[in-house]
Amino acid sequence: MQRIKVLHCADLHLGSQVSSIPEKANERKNEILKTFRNIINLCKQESVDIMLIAGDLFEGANIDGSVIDSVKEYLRQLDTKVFISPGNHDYVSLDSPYIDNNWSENVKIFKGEFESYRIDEINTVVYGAGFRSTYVKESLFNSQIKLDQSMINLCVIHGDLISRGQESQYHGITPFHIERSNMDYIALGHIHKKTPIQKINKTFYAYSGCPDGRGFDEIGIKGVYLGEITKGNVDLKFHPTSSRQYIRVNIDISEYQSETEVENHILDYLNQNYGDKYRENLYRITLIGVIDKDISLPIKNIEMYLADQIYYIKLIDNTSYLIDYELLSKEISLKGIFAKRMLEKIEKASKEEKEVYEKALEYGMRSFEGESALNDY
Amino acid sequence: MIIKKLHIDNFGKFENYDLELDKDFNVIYGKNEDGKSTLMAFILMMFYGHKGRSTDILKNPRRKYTPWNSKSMKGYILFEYENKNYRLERTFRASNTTDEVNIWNDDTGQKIRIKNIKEPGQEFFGLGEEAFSKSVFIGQNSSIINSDGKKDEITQKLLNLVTSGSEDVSYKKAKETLDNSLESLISKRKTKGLLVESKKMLENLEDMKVQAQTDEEDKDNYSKQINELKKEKENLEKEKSDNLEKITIYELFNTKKEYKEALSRKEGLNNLSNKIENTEKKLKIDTGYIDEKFIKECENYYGKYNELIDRHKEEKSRIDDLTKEISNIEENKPKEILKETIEEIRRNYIEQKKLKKQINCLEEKHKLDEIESKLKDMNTEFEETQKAVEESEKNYKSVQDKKQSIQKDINSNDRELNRVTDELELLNKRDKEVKEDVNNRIKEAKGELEEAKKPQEIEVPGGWEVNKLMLFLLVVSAFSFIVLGTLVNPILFAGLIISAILTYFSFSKSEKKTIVKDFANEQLVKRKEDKYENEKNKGEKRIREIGDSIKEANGKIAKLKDEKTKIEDDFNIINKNWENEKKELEEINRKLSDMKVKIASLESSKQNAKEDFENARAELDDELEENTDNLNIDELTESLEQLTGIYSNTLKKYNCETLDEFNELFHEYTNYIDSLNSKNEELSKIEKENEEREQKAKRIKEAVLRLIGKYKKIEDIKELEDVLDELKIMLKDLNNRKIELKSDMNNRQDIEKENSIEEMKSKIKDMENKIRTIDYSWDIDFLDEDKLKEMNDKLSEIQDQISDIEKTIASKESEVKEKYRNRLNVSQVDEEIEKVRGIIDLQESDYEALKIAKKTMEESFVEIQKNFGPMVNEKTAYILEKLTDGKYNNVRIARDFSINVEDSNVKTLHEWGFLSDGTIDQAYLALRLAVFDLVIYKDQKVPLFLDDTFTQYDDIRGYKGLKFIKEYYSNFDSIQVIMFTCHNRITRWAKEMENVKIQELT
Repeated sequence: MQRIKVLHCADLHLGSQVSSIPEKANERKNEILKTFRNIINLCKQESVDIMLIAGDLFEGANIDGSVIDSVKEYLRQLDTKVFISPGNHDYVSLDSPYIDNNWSENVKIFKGEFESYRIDEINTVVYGAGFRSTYVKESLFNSQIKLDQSMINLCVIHGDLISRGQESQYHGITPFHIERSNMDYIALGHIHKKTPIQKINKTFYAYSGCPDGRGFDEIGIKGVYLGEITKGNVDLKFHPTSSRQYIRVNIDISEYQSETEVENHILDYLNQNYGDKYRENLYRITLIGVIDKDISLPIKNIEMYLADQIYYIKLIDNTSYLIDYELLSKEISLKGIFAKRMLEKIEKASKEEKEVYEKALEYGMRSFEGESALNDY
Repeated sequence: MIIKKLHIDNFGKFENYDLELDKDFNVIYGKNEDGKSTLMAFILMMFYGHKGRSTDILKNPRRKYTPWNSKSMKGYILFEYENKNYRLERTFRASNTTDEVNIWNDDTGQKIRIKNIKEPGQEFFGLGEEAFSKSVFIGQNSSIINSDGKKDEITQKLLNLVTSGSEDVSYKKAKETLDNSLESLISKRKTKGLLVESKKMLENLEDMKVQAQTDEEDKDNYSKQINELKKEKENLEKEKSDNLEKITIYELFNTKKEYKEALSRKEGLNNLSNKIENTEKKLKIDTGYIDEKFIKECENYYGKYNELIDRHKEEKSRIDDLTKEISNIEENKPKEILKETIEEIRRNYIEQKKLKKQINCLEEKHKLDEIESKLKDMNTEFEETQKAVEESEKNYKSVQDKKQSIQKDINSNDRELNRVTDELELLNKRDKEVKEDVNNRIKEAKGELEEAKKPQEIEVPGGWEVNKLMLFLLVVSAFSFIVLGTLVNPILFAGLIISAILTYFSFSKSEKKTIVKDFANEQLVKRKEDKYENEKNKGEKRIREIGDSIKEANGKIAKLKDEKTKIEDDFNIINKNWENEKKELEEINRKLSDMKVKIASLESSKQNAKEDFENARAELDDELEENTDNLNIDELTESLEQLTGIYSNTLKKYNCETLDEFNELFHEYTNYIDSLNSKNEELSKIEKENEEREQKAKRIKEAVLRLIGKYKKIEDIKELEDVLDELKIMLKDLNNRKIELKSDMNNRQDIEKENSIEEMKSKIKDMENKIRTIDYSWDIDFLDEDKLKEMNDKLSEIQDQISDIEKTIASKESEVKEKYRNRLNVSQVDEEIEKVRGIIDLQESDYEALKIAKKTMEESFVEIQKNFGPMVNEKTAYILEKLTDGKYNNVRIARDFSINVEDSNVKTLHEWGFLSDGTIDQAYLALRLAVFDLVIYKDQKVPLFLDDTFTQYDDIRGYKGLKFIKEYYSNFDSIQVIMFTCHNRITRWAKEMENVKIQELT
């Protein structure tokens, strides 16, 4: 039975400015290009037959020419057949790198309509289509095409998985489309968080997610799908490729009263949860818990101290005062009355509003101490 | 609630300490450091513990009050609450969580469970820790407001008390903080603030999105335009290919035509080359082809052959001439002289000459020998004569010596005679003088004697004058010598000595004169008699002596005269002898000089003879020279005569007088022989050469016939010329054809070059077949070249159009790339929008929360003002009136948060700032007590703690204050008052009051 080795990746957004952390922007930009190169090397090491890039390889048509040249150069070194399906970021247009005619022979780009490339040596047909504008509201799948079921049929495409009846501007793909496609595997791109390998009827499909994070909305270990596909079976495994992780975490510091205690606790926590290389990650940490209002923790100092040891760290103070509001509300004083009134309002508030009212109570209590409760945005 | 007893096991400085409290009014006196604040802290911490875990000892009472004895910090409090007795025990540890707290009902001994066992104060006081410590404890608040600058602080506290019910909580501050936060999100004018900016950013992004969408549509339009251009291009490409087809057909026809032309050209070329080939075949010989060189070679041979034949003829006539010439010479042959004959006669002649020389030499030698022997004899004689001369000279000399000696004696005798004669003369003179002197002396002595015999008196005076002039001169001379010695010459100093000596003499002379003395006369006579006698004797003697000498001289003269006669005789004899000797010597000398002349003449002859001999010898040959001694003149003369005979016979035979004639005759004969020989040689040489020439001509003829024979055999060399002419014509033709061929070859076109005739023919055939199969409907003359050009022009026009379109497409594409190079695309903008929206949501929620907090804060403030304000005001007015003895009766807070106190007499308001410190203290206490009342206004009754409240008060105010509190709280049931103080006056005043428990800390 024919076995083929496949690597599925998407959403590299090469050339993106990675502006969420300005001081690391350039370095991260280069690291992401390096990650792409690592993926190329992975293809070489694993003798991958087919590499599927499911859109948003480039951030846009407006990126540095040098990045485009590098990508072409890396791909040229491969024996692997590479299939690119442009997405909403790198849709095919007059200024798109995809219309250049110096891509190497082994690279095939789906520049629009659903089409296919047949690779007889490995008994495989690769289907795909490409975005030609930001928004694609009609399905790119073509149900008219009859598949040769003696072949392994792969599909690479960019789009938004939605349920039946939902709509998406970014090429909505419903379970119906997947089922009707009759493909053996559909390599999806667009969603930056990976999904497990799923299956509808006979068709396997998955988002690989992006191979390297670019901000705190792309958290955790990132990578590609790599493995073997045979007719009727998909054995792809997640393979990490991210150079660093973006991590968002809440840390309770109720138990700690001093600056150094808090610092040590944070370092211990990160070490335990993110391993030996924890210092190389990027963290956005929300400090939670209750603290005595008499203790004032210099959050900025703690952040500066930690930033010396960790690639990037940002602290958000979300602690609250340790106050017995029930007792306080009995006091005949401004504080007591304020607490009493706020508790009443929270009680009355709808579920959605409650959070705002709780925040109001905290901000009010802090205002008695002259503290502005606002964090950086 | 009443605290009955405190028990401290260990807490701060206290160890196993008990303090019992009265249910009403307690005054606890203690000096500073006695532990008042420790006791208050104990009470507070028993009921509330302490939450902080600060390591700063000042901030953490657990540390501050760690027992000094380091035992565990613990104690208990007994209190009454709602008519029940309780016992609160607490052992302090690191934190509230770890503290051990137990409460028992002291009446039943049951352990009590309450909601927050670690902070029982919440239960029993109904207050949180903060509220408890802020309202129930009243400290020495105004102790720090002595200086004006601190007034703000108490003002703030008072304000806080009035507005928030707590002196540490400021409504104003809280509200400001909230306002600031709100404004940081949205400014008052709504133009600034984080939220405003976020929204602006969102708006910008929305604009950018519109722009990005427009860009995308633009790009799409560009795409469409380019697609249309591409379609246009495709149409042009179609047209282009139609044209190309036509041109192909044109080209087919033209190619066929060209091929045909080329074919005929190539066939012509072939004919020409065939002709050349045939000619070349004729001209072929075994060594290659006959060419210009070959012909030239033949002509060369032929020319040489003719030349040789002509020369041969010429030389033959010359040989005949020479033969005639030789026979002429032979006819005039001279007399023959053999070579031996002439050589012999020449030898004879030389021998004769030699012999003559030898003879001559021998004769010269004889002459020389004769002279030499004569000379020898003469020399011997000369030597003998010389000896005789020597003898004669000796004799002469001896005689002469004798003669001279006698002459000497004569001279000496003469001199002696003269001398003695002179002497005698002198003696005679002297004799006369002496006789005269002696007579004088005797005469003088006789006179003196006679004088003396006469008596005489003599006086001698001493004197110095004599010398004065001489001395003066001497001094002058001495001075002169000094001057001269100094100036001229030191030798002149010697003059000084001379002067000195003379000086001496000048003195001594004068002294002598002074010494001389006179004698007696007798003595003098005697002396004169002696002198006379003496003189007489002496004179006689002297005269005698001279007479003797005169006699002696006369004897000598006689003797000398005898001697002179004798000597003169001897001299005459010897003189005669001398003259004989002299004559003899002169004769011999004459003879010697004659001999000298003869010897000289012989020496000269010998020299001549020697030269002659040497010359004769030099004439001889070397070998003869050596043998000269052995030769004999006679033998030689005989040989000579023999030779002379042969010589003259020979000459006579040939009728010759001299050898020269004979030699001439011989030369004539040899000339004849030489001339004959040379002619014969010349003849034979020419004959030989001519023979060779003939042979050579023959060989050349054979060679040329052989050479031409390669082309055509001929017998007679005379035919050669015709054959060569024939060949020349052929070669010329061949060359012309070759030039023609070469030019044709050079003018060949590609078709002929690249194709053989067969290929051309087959191609033409193919083309004809192709043309036959083409199905075209155009009515065109395919051989019209103008048409073809027109078509080509059209084609390039189409091509131009295509490339124009391609350029347009390329420029549009690059235009698009350039135009949108730095623009964000829709997806990028969408992502940014999403991010900003998230921030806005957060900011809006914060803004909302702040607004709610602010609103609630304001509501709370209104409530506290509305519900509790009047009560606080009332109480404050009441208490202040009591404290001030009715001077002030109200404290008011204006809307602008200024504080005023109302004067009860004149009903005017005094601004806070103008009040005295004492009044401020009273107002403050009034407010604190009012707030305390508010706290206990509810069900709970709480003890009041006062810590040196009256410290700043003067005695009157202090007493009144104490009294007021005592009385005021006596009216409340169960309000226990615990007052700490370090002032004796308080204790003193308290002692005067009833129901006051006073205790001292020890």
